[in-house]
Amino acid sequence: MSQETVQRIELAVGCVLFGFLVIRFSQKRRISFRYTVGWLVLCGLGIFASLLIPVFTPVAEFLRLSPTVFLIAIASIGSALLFLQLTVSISGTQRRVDSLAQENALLREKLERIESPIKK
Amino acid sequence: MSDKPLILIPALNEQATIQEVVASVIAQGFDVVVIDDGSGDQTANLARQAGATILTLRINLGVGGALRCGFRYAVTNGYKSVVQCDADGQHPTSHIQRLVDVSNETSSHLVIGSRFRSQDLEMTVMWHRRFAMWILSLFASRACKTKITDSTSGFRLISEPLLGQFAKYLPSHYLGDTFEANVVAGRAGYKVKEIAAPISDRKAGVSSTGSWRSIILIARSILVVFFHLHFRIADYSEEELSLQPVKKG
Repeated sequence: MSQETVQRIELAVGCVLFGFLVIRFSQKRRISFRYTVGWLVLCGLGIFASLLIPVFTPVAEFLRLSPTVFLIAIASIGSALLFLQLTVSISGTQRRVDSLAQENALLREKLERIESPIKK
Repeated sequence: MSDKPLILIPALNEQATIQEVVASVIAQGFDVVVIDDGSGDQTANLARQAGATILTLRINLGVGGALRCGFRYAVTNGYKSVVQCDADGQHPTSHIQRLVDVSNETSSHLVIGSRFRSQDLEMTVMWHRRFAMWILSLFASRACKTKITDSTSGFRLISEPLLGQFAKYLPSHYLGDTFEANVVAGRAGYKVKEIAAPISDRKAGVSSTGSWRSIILIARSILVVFFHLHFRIADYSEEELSLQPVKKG
């Protein structure tokens, strides 16, 4: 077996294992459906790309990279973009949680004020 | 609508001092709101018994988040100004009236009580922290166009229209509510004034931020201010006596 074939198999196996991990997390409700789909699409692209390494070879050679390194670079950029999107998402969620906690405190105070004359 | 300022006291596990602080503020005739920032002790109950209105945050948001909640309460209930005061008994509540007087005399939107202007400083500040505070003060002074010696002071008066802007946009991260807020107010054209206000060491409890961690966070805040990455509020124009829309980015 050539070195390239071994690398293709390793890449495909890595993607499959990562896909199983994502599915396991999703089954335990640790990842929401939308992110499960996102990660599985990324895994699918990885498997697809490992099968089509010869197609990328001319581009990789043009960039003076081996096909595998080229694929890893693309995967890294994809992951970085995904992390950036997640950071944006977390920041928005943080703001919403802050606002909700404040709304809750203000409403609770209002409720206590309304209820206090009734109790008396 | 009330001309008297509302006194806001953000508190996290301050059961040892909160009753005394609330009682001393109420004795001066001010309305008091204690924002319980997720305390696990009797802070809220003791403050309520002392006569304060309580806003209970179910999760800990930090001082900035707690303060914003208080600002929203003040705006909703028609207060034109608020005074922020610590729950640990470090700030002499007798100086609240001085903040109010200075705000009225100078028409300032933000009056900061500085511990470093005071002759009788009773608080121990480590040298590295004092150095970091000096750097922060340089940035704050430049932004506010007046000498600021204590840009992280938690003893301040904030009046409208700045109060309304902070109620909408004040962030919850460390120094976002003090140093960054002061810089933002200055850069947006609001009038800032600083006066001396003595401060003593904490009577009980521990500070929420450790010494070295605070140095790292101070460095982060300096970068935020240097690159104008801080939150935005509507600009204040004295000539037009109106607020300009909030600039994006």
